[in-house]
Amino acid sequence: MTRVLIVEDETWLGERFERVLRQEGFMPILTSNVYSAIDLIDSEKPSVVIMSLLLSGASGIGLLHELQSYVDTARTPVVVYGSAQLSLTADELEPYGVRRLLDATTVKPQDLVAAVRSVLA
Amino acid sequence: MDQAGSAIYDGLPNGIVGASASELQVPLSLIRQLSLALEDMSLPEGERRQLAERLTLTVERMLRLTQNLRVDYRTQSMLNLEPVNPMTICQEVVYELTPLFRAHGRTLVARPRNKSLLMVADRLLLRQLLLGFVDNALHYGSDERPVQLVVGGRGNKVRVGVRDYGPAVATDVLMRLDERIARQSQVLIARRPRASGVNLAIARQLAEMMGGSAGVVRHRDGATFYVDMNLSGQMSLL
Repeated sequence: MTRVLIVEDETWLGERFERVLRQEGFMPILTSNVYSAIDLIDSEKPSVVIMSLLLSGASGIGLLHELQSYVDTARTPVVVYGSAQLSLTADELEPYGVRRLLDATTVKPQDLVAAVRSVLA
Repeated sequence: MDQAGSAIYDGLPNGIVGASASELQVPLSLIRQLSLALEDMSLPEGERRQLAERLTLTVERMLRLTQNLRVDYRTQSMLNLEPVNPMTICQEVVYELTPLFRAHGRTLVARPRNKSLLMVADRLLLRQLLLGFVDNALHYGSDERPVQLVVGGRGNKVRVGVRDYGPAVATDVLMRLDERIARQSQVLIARRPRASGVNLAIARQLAEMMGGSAGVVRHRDGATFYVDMNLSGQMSLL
């Protein structure tokens, strides 16, 4: 089963994503902070990481840098869930391993699933 | 910093307006996802009830946030500075936010103290400021330990702190990560966005309006957001 790490500090939002992905046959792992995400990436070796950029504690950007710093994690595809307000494009985030950028204001559960499938393809 | 890195930081919302918009967008996104989930009529009754409860609690959280933004525009002349028992305010905050904490499987407590202290503050403003801190603490810690409201004396000041517990990180790891992140982060919001965004900025303004100050102390396993207000002279009469 494909492991998907969800890094979302809005617990209820993370739980929604977790449920949607589980229904679609993925094995979601939910964490709310960057420090435990780093541990989980080492121990669980997820195939995909879904994360918000504006996380509490260390920032999501810190996590992206951390992922890019190691050969074994640099290729892990990342789906960023954020708002259009960030004014970031997928191209700008690509050097950080971000393969898809989902807009929080328009995203639907099926978009999340489609994004995960597309980065795995 | 490389070009892509620079683009990331340029893209982050700056200033109080950006931080406010960002802060409001989080619960709005959650409300949207909860509403979308409720469209599924095949959900069991218990789950629907839970989603509805989460919707209500999230809307209430948003209302508190907007209230904090509005209060920023109050003028000093409208303040009602008086001797206030901060423990009473802490207990009110605990009472108001306990349903939200319970729904998240978390606990909020006001640490009792034997000796009462009085501070000079506007009761409503202080309450609002603490509600903001506690709301933020709920969404930071993943730890099972309760978020604590703590009152303490510091010379001629009284401090009310909101202590939250995040994951305990070994000091060397924390230093290494902090160093890396500090090198990469050029904007305050990247460090602890919600807290260092609108809540702390407004809290500082509100505290200053009442003749005090507000700030944050970062710990290895969380943070304490605090407000320091002047000790009330009425204490000497007690």
